Parts: sequence; C-alpha cells; structure tokens
Amino acid sequence: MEQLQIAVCEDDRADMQRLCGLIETNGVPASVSVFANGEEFLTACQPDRFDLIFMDIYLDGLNGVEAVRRVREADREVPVAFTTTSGDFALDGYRLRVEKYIEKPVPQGDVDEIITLALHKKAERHRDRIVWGRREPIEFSASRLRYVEQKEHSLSFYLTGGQVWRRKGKLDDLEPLLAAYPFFRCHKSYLVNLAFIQGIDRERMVFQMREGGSAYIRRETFYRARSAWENWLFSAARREEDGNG
Amino acid sequence: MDKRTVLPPLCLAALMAVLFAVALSFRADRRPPPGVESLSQWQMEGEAVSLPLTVGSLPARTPLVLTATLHPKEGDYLYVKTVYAPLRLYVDGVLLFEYGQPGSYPDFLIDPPTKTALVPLPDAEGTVTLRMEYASPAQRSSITLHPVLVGSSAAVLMELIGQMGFSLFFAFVLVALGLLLFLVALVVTRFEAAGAALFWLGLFCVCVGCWVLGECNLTGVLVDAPVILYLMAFLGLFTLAIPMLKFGCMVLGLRRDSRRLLHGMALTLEICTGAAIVLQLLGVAAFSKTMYLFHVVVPLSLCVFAVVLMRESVWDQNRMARRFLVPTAALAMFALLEVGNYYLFHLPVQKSFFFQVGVLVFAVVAGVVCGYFVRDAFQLRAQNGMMQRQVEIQREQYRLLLEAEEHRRELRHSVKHHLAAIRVLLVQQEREAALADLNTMLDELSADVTGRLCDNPLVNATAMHYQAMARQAGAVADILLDIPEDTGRVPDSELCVIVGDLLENAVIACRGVEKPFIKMRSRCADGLLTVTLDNSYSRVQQNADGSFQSTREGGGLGLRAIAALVEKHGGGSHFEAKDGVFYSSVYLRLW
Repeated sequence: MEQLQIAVCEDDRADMQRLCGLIETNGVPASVSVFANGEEFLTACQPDRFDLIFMDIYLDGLNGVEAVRRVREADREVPVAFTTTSGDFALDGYRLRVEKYIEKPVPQGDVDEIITLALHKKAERHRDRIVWGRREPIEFSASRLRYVEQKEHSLSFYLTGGQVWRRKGKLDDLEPLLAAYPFFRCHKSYLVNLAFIQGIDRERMVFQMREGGSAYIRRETFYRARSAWENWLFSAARREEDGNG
Repeated sequence: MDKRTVLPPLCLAALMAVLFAVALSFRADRRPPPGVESLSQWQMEGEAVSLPLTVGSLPARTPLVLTATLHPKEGDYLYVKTVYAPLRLYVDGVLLFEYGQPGSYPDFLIDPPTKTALVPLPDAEGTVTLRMEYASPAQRSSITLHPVLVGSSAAVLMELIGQMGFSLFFAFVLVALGLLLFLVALVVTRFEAAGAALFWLGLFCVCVGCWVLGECNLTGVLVDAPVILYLMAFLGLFTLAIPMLKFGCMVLGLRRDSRRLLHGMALTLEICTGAAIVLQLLGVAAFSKTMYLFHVVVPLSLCVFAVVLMRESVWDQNRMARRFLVPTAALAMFALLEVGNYYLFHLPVQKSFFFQVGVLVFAVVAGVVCGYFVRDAFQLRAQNGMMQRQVEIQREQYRLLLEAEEHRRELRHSVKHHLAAIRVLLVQQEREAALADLNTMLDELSADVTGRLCDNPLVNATAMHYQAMARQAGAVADILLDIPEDTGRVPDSELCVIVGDLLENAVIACRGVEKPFIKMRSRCADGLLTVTLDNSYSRVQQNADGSFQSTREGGGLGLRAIAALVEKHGGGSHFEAKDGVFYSSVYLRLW
C-alpha cells in the first residue's frame, strides 16, 4: 500500500519532534512533511496532496484555524487534527470539520486513532477513484469532480483547484459510474456534483458552481433539480457531527 | 408595489369609467331605435296630454283614465310602468294587464311598489284602442304617468338595456364585489382583526348594489318581484352610508372627536332606518314617504364625512384622510347633485347615475387604501412578534451571564478551598492525600465547560434557552450550530426567530413522547446557511394540502411563517413527519 502522506504544522521544535516520534512509533508506512508556519504549509498544500494534517493552533503569523479554513475551501475531505493546549477552539474545530482535537502533550493513543481514521479515509478516497478514457485515461476522486459538460463527443471534467480535463465520451456513459455519488443530470449536456453548487439562478436557469462556472438546467426539470439540491443541503447539514468526533 | 406608481393609473381608470358612463347615459337622450315606438300622446278626460306627466293635488285613489290608439304589428309588446299606483290596462275593452289591486301585495306597504312589465299585445287587425286605468297613490298627492313603449320584445329590451344596462351591470358588479370582500374579510379576520375593514367596505358595496338593483326598472322587467325590489332599493339607500362611516372610523386613524361625530352620524342613520322600518310595518308611512328624510340625512352624513376628512387632512396632516378626501368629497357632491337632480334639475340621465359614478371612484380608492391598511396591520404584528422575541432572547442572555458569573465565583471559592487544603497536606508531608485532592480539583475544573452552541451570540442565547427548556422537559437535546457571528444581510434577530421557532415547535411536539429527543444541526457554506431539526413528536395534524397544522397557542410564528421568512432571504424549507420523527429543514442565503 502507498505511504500515508502526513503534514505536521508545528512551530515548537520539541512538540514537533515528539509528534514525529509518535507517528514513527505507530509504525504506519508514512512520509511526513514538516512546516514551521501556516504560510509555508499552504504553499505546499494542494488538493489530494496530504492524507492527514496535524495542525498546531497557535502559530506565528497565520494561525492554525485560519490555515485549515483555507485548506477546507479546496478540500473538504482531508482529515485534520488540531493540536493545542487550550480547549477554547472546540467550536472552530466543529465548523471546519476537524476530525480530531488533541490536547498537548499529545498522547500516543490519539495519534494512533487519527492515523487509523486517515487510513480508512484514504481507502475510501481510493475507492472513489474514477478512471475515464481509453487513450490517456484520467484518474480522479469523485469527490473532487465539480461538474461535467458535454460538447458534441467530448466531455469537460471540471475539478477542484481549477483543474479541467477534456476527454472523448458521453454523459450517458459517465453517469452510471457516478451513480453512488451525489451527482444530478440537470441538462442533457450537464452533470453536476450537488456538493459543489453555490446557488441557483432562476432567471438564467443555471446552477452556479463553487470555484466558478455554471451548469444549465433544463426548464422542465427545474423544480426537480432544485429539490435534489435542497435535499442534498439538508442531508449535508444532518450529517454534520460534533467537532471532537 | 409603490403606491405612487399604482394610484395614477387607478385614478385614470376611474376617470375613464366616468367618461364611458357619461357617454352611455347620453344614449338615453336620443330617439328610440326603429322598431320601438314611444307612445306619449294620450287622451285624459277628453283632453290631449303628453307623457311623462305629473298630476298633482289628488286625494288617495283618485281614478285616472287614459286612452290612446295605435297600430300594433304582430308579436308586439307593451312596456308599462306604474309608480305606487294600481293599474288596469284594457285593449279594445278587454282586460290585458292588471297590477296593484288590493290584496295583491302586503297591506303594510300601503301603496303597491313600483312595477315595470312587458305585456304581449293580442293579435289584431288595424287600429286598437288602449285604455289605462290608474288609481293615484295613497302616500303621495301626485302621480307621475310614464309613456308606454311599443315594439317587439327584443327591440323593447334592447332599448331598455341601452337606457339602464349600465346601472344593472354596475349593481351586479358591486354586489359581487361586496360578497367577495365578505369572503376575504372572513378569511383575513381569522388572522388579523383589521380585516373587519374589508367587511365594512364589502357591506357598503352590497348596500349600494342593492339600492341600484332595486331602483333599476330593467330589473323589474327581468324579475317579477316588485316587493323585494322595493325593499332592496329603499333599505340599500337608507343604510349605505353606515358601513362607509364605520369603515372611515376604523381605517383612517381619525381624532377621537371626529370618530365620535362619525359614529353619531352612523347611529342617527341606524335610528332613522329602524324608525322607517317600524313605520312601514305598522302601515303608517311607506318607505316612499320616509325616503324624503333620507334624501337629507344620507347626503348630510356624506358631507359631514367629507368635512371631517378635510379638517383632518388640513389641520392634522392625516395622510390617510387626505387620500380619502377627494373620493369622499366627490361622493358627497354627487349625492347632492343626485338629490338636486331629483327635485330641481331633471337632467336627462338615469336616476342615481351621478351617485353611481361617485361610488365607483370611492370604491376603487377605498379598495386600494384598505389593502394597504390590512397589509400594514399584518406587518406591524409580525414586527411586534419579532421584537417581543428579541426582548426574550436578551433577557435570557442576561440570565445566562449572571449564572456564569455566579458559577465563576463558586469555582474560585472551591479552588481557594482546595489550595488551602493542599497546603495543609503538604505542610504535613501527606503527599498522597495532597495529590488526590489536586486530582479532584482538576476534575472539577475540566468538568466546568460553559457550553457554547454557536458562534453567533444572539442565536447561541436562543439555542441555549430552548436547550435548557427541552432538558427540563426531559428531552435529549443535541444542538450544535454553525452560525457565524457576522450573518451578512440577514439580521441576527430573524435568525433567532427561525431557530427559536423551530426549537419551540420541537419542544412543544416532544410533550407526551416516551423518549423525547431534539437534534439540531446546521451547515454554513457558500453563503448559504442550512438548518435542520429532527425531533420526536406525539401527534401532528396535517392539512389537506400537505401543510402542517399549527399546534401552538399564540406566541411565535408557525411553520408557514418560517417558510415565508427563509424564502424572503432566497431560501426554502421542507417539513416532513415520518415514523414518529418530525424533520424540519430550512436554508437561506446570508451573503
């Protein structure tokens, strides 16, 4: 199995060494990248780059909460563990959907727990892999696919982080592959990921997508499309769990 | 909609209606169309007379005999009209039509009510002689004799419709409008008492409609119910100003003395009408006689109304009064014109025409103003409710603050106590006991987590309040909200109302459930706030349209109001009851 990509963001040398030691003790095959401040971490952090992030809340300059907020803008899935000395950030942790909240000094048990969870998520993400195209096949995580547009015989895949891929194919063939994910066919040329809809524009009959772009809605399916999106919103809110997971 | 953009076209429409009405009424002035002959040359006691003719100084039931000759075509009809006088119509000595003979109408009416009729002429060759035997009214010393129209039934009807069709149509529209307003008022008053204004306006329309309907001769031709029409005409006329005055008192926000004056005016009219009814029932004086009183009182009350409005709008700067001043003054003026026309001018227009135009203008303006009035009342109530809720929330927050302060003091005291004890133990070299005491203290401190359910302080206070309430009621309340401090374009107070009302519904619904629970979650992303609430319930009532019946008594807003509130902010809502769990879901746009 591939190595677990772990980021440790910690400005205190002693704490950082302790954490790296605990990860080593766990024994999971891992590659650990260490960052001394938030800015440095954000430059390196691309969608899908890390499988687990340990984040100290009190960092010089950009603090940990803000750094995770930026990460969440592009990647809602990657597991994050906050490490800190104070308990006041529990709510921020909840809002940013932080998996684990660890009080310093970090205990081994908590590290083991979050690594297990990260492995589980990684496996899940691996299962989310969609492969498309015979020549030059592309591979991506379904949870990163924002929407797909069909123009004649080619499909444009719009992913998070501004990535766009064009490959031959038809939406009718792609749709069954994505059946397990919250995708909705709102138009004969558009397939949208409900999780990436920012709003609905009734005048123009489009879904506005997060990170830009819009998907047309067939007039006849407008109400069905809206209610599919609303249902997704509601169930997403219901899925929100307590911050300390 | 802005009233500045609505009122001018409405006024223009009213003016157009006036224009059309005037144009229509002048058709009455022209000669009858071909096919209809107006028989106005008659012989009375050997003298030639021309109808219409009013004969005065007559003792009761003075017989009057009129004769004329005509050349009827086959299938011709006669249109005859008699006002409060019994009539017998003979053709060549044979009785053709008889009306108003004693016993054919209730005795207390004294005179037979006005009657118009279309009478078929028997087939005859050449010239025939018509003889009309009138008996003058008992309640009046004069009698007015009207010309007789001759022609085919269709032609005569067309002629009559040309003269009076507008009145009839107008009356129907008014009655229908009045009944519609009744219905609306019935629905609106269930929610808002101010809806009664609609009822008064509707009653005004119905009164005027009944009066015009009863007065119109065309109705008499189409419906053979002279007594009913007589009662409708007079009672409508007598009472029409009453609902108008009540409406004014209610809607216009007048000064107290003005309101008393108008109420006094209305009472006067009510007493007069009551007296007129009693006099009629006793057979002392008929409506046709007491009417003269109302020819004074009704225009007078309209004039008083107009003067009150003028005073209010000029001296007290009452905007509502100003809006009503022009139509009311117009109505009063038209009423005076009407009375003047009845007694003095005798203009060639249909009776009550002027008043009808005035009523039309008044009803249009009143309808618009009334709509605004009811809407304002609704808004005011919603605002009051929201303010009330905010006050409650602030009070609750203050209570929480005090509680936290109290708790801190206790904690400080406890820590001090522990530290003193530890010091003693350390001095006595009892390390184990000191450590145990230290651990107890640490446990106490970590147990002290002052709960925060959400970043937004106001929503937090609201949620805490209901969480405490739910827990008191024995429910498991799991509330965790992701609502930022800055809620963009949605005021905190409205979010409090949404969250508070959802929770209040849930707490109420949990009553009488075995294992009650409440679970509230929210998600804030892309400027959209989604709030979901799942709770156990014992019973919900579902309406036929799938919406849920409110079980609350007063207090907050129902589900419908929550739905309206989130829709106002570009969102939506969904409510569902399934397997003992009530699922509420709403979303709205914060920015």
